[in-house]
Amino acid sequence: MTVSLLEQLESAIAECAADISALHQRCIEAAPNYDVEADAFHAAVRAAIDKYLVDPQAASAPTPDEIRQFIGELQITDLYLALACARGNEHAWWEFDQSYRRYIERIARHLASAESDAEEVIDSVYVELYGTRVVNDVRQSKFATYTGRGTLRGWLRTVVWHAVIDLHRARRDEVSIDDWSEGGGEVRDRPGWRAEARGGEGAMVERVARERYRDVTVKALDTSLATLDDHEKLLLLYYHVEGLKLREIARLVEEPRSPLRRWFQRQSKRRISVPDSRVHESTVMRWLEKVYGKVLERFRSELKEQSGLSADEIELCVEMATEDLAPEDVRRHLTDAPAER
Amino acid sequence: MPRPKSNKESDRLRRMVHQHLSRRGSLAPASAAAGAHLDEDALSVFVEGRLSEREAAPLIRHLVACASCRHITTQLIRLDTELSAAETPAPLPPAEEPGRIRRLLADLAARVLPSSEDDVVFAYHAPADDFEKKDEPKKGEEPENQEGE
Repeated sequence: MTVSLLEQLESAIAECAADISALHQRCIEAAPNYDVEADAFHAAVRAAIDKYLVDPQAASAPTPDEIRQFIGELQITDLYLALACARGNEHAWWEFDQSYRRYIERIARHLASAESDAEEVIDSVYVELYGTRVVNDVRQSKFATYTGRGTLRGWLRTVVWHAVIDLHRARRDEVSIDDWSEGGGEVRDRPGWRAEARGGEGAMVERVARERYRDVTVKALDTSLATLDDHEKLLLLYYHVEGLKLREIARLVEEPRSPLRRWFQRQSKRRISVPDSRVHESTVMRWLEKVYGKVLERFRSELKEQSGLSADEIELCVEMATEDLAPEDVRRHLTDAPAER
Repeated sequence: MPRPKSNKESDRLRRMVHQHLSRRGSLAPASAAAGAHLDEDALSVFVEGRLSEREAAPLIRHLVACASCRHITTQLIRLDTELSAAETPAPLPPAEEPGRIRRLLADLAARVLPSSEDDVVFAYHAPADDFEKKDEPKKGEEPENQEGE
């Protein structure tokens, strides 16, 4: 960030200091025994602003109004609780345990394969939240990484999920290499290969022609996808690479304020009668189809203008693009490769 | 923007994009640096959909470039969907045992690793003084519930 933008940011935050103090006062009134000092509270809110509102690539610093809106949307009650827990406040820990222990247990049992694993996860989560490492006389509680931008519940879900993954990783490291390999650890996804064309000269000519069209097809696809907006790319990646179902993507954008949802709703020319209503799977499908249409238009344009292909050739490339486009030499290499390294 | 004319064409387009993306696995150029991974705070708030568009822009940019973080958000979305589908009534809080939290915190404090031999830090602060403030309303403490469920 440039010096002048930094100055703008500091000035905007200074203008909002009274708002932050007012929030702190409200927290004290609601939980007088948590003993979170004003400095610590201000520092935590400042950390959240720096993390989410300040984009080094943005051309401008956030304005005081934007900062006020941001701090108004923070989960202040959750943040105050987390700050107090980070300091080891027993009242805060009592409240936390009462409010969230069952939820942590529920997630751990849902994710872990055995009850003993779930217990281990729950224990490790509590240890991490409390913090057993001390650096420069400061106990490193995981609560200190929670900013209050999202709910504490959602954050805990992620923390528990990570704990389960860490447990699995640790267990996997204990498994012998032979066992892992036998269990399919080395199996790679292989695309469905078409039968390699064999035959005489005619077949070879066809292969050469296909190679040429394959190369321009792949290049045109790369270009047409690269020109998409990040929101569109992420939607495609979630659906086609991560394998999320439509209803799962609908769940991701369920929140009316969801940035992905708002972006796609703005692109839509359809009148949305109830903008805050639930997003249906069919809506997500419509968003996808719109992106596909954009890709196809750009794809055809690339083939026509950059590669000089005719309409028939373009249609051939479109057909090819729906098939397996792995290069023949790569396919041959993998076919001849030994089953295990 | 052109829309697919028919289901067949729509399927064809979907296959086209699917084949390409399945092979590539990414839409970021090989040279793109994704930057530092997203932490739990950023991952969870993204999945909750609570960010403004301004706040979300760098995260979305990162998720396009970083398969690892994107995969984590995928798992979290699935987890959220599964938990919602299996929604149960709000669970009862744990049965209250006198001193349970104090014992829990003492146990956690006993696991704290000092930074050096000479630097033993008693991380657990026993708020003995706090319990003298009995006449003040205490957050979350409701005496009528303390006898257990």
